[in-house]
Amino acid sequence: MTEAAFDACIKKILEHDKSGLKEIYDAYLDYIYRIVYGVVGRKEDAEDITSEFFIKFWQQADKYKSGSGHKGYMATMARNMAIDHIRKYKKEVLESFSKDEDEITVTEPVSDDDTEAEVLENIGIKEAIQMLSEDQQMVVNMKVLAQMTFAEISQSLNVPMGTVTWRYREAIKKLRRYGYYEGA
Amino acid sequence: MKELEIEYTKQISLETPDLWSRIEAGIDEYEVKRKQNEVVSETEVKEEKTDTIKIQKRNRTIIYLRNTVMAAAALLLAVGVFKMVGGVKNTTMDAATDNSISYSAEAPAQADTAPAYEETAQEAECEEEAAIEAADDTSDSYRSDSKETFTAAPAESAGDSFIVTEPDTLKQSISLAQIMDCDVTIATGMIETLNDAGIKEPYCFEANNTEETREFNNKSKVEGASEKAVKIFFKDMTDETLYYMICTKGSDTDIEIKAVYRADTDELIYELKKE
Repeated sequence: MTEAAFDACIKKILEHDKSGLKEIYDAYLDYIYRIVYGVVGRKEDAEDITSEFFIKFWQQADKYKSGSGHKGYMATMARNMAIDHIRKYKKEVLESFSKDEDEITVTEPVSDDDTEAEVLENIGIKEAIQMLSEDQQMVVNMKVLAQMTFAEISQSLNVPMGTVTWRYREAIKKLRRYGYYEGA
Repeated sequence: MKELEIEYTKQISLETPDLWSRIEAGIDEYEVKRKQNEVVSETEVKEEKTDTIKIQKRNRTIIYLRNTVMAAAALLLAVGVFKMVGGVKNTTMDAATDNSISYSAEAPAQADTAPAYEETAQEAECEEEAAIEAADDTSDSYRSDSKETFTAAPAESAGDSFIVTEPDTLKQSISLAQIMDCDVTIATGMIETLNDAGIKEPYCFEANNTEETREFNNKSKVEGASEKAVKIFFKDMTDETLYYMICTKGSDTDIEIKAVYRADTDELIYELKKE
């Protein structure tokens, strides 16, 4: 969606015309849902937060400043909502994530077995991700789906950035075994 | 090999549910609440305005009452002062009557202003002379006072003793009964006569010669006093018509209205019928 088209939608929203929001919804639902899912990591939570995002966007449409890059604006807003959610409702998860830092040192040996590699390459991306540890999944989701930087991930999860990057690298190594490589 | 980001993004997009119905429901709920809040806010603003108006009205009422009370107090004070001054004047007048100085001094001037009613004046002159003689013979205090009053009057003024209240110097209307306060009975009779003549609310004026009018009334009590005439301007307060009446002493306890005229046309309204 172009900036002009987005601005037109904002104008409709400000006139309490729901068609403006529907256009934005149709164009960016996948994008927003992916970002939110990347942060919260659970389908049910992602659905709730995505719904809340669009409702909040309707309520606060007057705060959007035209020409500021609507896609980045929406991504930031969605990420912040998702991060707020995990801070509120996933405090336990974050705490366990922090406590598991010792486990970081425990790495799984990457097998060089060609037979095993052929089998693993047939695994779908979802299954491959689920093969990662919960901490690694979280970092990969945030990095790949939510398009967050390591610094943002570090800040969101309240863990050192070195730990975050290390976990990400370990996850990528594992995923490579399943036939998935990190793009440029 | 598959690119992680493309594959993962594609997979999540495939799993993206349709959330529009939930979102729409949430928006509708929000809009309903917003409109309710607006109504409540408007109501609150209206209530605030109403309260402000009530307070302003109350303040105005308080100010009005305060001013009214102050005005009433000032009026009462003025009336009190007026009465006190009037009392002093009466006392002065009584003293002047006792000494017969003021009347004798004013008599020539009054005579110049009264060319009419010559017959009455001549009769008054004779009666006054008789009264002087009679007064000399009597010795009671009342008559003694009166005697001094009339004996002090010069002979030439007695013939033209026509006292005129001056409408040009009028300050405020005053009841005839008030002017004739030296003898209410007399005043009441006069008012009845005027009422019979069709003048409903005869009000005379407090002119600068009010005391003279009173003096005339005092004289009217005197037995055998000369029949001085007085021309008194007054208004009928029902229609603000200005009249004047010619009055003379009727008897010992009464004065008579000889005639009543409209001041603007000199139209005769009432005339005492001669028997």
